[in-house]
Amino acid sequence: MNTSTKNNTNALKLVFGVIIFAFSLAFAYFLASFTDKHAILDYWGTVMILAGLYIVVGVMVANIFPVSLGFLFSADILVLHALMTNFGDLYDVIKALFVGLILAVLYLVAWMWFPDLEYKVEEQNLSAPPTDEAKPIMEAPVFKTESDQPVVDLDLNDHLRKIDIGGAQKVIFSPNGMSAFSTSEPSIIRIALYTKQLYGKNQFQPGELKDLFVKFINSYTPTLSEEKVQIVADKMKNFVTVGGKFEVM
Amino acid sequence: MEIIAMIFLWPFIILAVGLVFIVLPDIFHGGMLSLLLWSLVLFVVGVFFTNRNKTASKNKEETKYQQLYLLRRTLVVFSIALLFPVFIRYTVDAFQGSLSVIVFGLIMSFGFLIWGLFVKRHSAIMVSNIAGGSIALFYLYMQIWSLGEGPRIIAAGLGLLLAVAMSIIKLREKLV
Repeated sequence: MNTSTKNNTNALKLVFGVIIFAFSLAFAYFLASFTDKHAILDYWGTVMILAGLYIVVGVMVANIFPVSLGFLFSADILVLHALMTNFGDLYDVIKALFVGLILAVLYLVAWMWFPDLEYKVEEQNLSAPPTDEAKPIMEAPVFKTESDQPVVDLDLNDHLRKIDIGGAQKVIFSPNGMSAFSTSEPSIIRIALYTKQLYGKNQFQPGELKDLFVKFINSYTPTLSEEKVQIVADKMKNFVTVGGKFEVM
Repeated sequence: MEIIAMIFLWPFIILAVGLVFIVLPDIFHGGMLSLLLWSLVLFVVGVFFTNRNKTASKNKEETKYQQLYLLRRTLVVFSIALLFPVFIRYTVDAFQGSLSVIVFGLIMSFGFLIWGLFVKRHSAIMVSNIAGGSIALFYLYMQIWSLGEGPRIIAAGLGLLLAVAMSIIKLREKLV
């Protein structure tokens, strides 16, 4: 998919997301007014029921991002509006339970999603053998070779798996002018050993490793999610850009 | 699975931050207390953003993805740091400021503070627990102040004991 098509698709997603968000909000408020006016149901009761319904629909259609996000953000607005108006009237026990529940989920989110970046990289298993479904996730090479053609080496993954890391515990990367970072992830240690073996050194000038980086971007088959691969790729891109040295310990 | 969870992350974070602003008047109210707590919050936010700027200036190549990651992380830290004291306050209010619940709140706040001081590999939890635990302790000690001399002495003694114990553990760890 080229960049222009991708941008158009993203714009379309955004437009649909906004439309769903706006219409779901309008529907909720109009229906709440109607039910309240005709004494069918309390205004805020209707709002909360619809918010719950939107959350359920948002979860059910999670694979259609714009629809899901449209409903979920709409539910956010409805819940927050209802709380803003009625929170002071609630019993303290209910307030404590509600805040406690949100707090518990926040802790879960912080624990699972926001560990320190270098450790987040460390804890992932990049070295597992690739499965049939595993495909290179990083689509576009960050650097281009002189011929503008990606370098493809299909034996790279096999070669890397055969490298014995021996007693190596971790690898410390010291990019020029930036803070050092380390990882004990075996697959990164293998890549470091491979690089050292290939070049016969462990200190590099800015951009010196860019061809090798492109090769990895195109040929290395990670088994991680796009997000985690992106963290590793960003750190490596920085290292390749500014140059520096690494040490396997 | 991870991508699906990511979809729910933003709506949930927005809900949590919105809730913080809704409940904020319940913890930050009244003259001097309000001033002190606001100062503490501004200080924590200031320190956080200063560190973030330092990191950003060190790393000019920081991608949009990393910026979004940091933003989400900051919002989670901010929400936990302020919702924890609010939770303690509501719990104390729900039991009409009973001494046993205040003691429970003290134990919980100290527990979270200590967890924040000793947690490894999770600086988001570290920052939020230290800030949230400190604000909660501040609030609880203000409550204890109104209960008379006995509880004041016990609470101050407990705080002192824990502070000394934590200092010993932390210092010993660094000396080895």
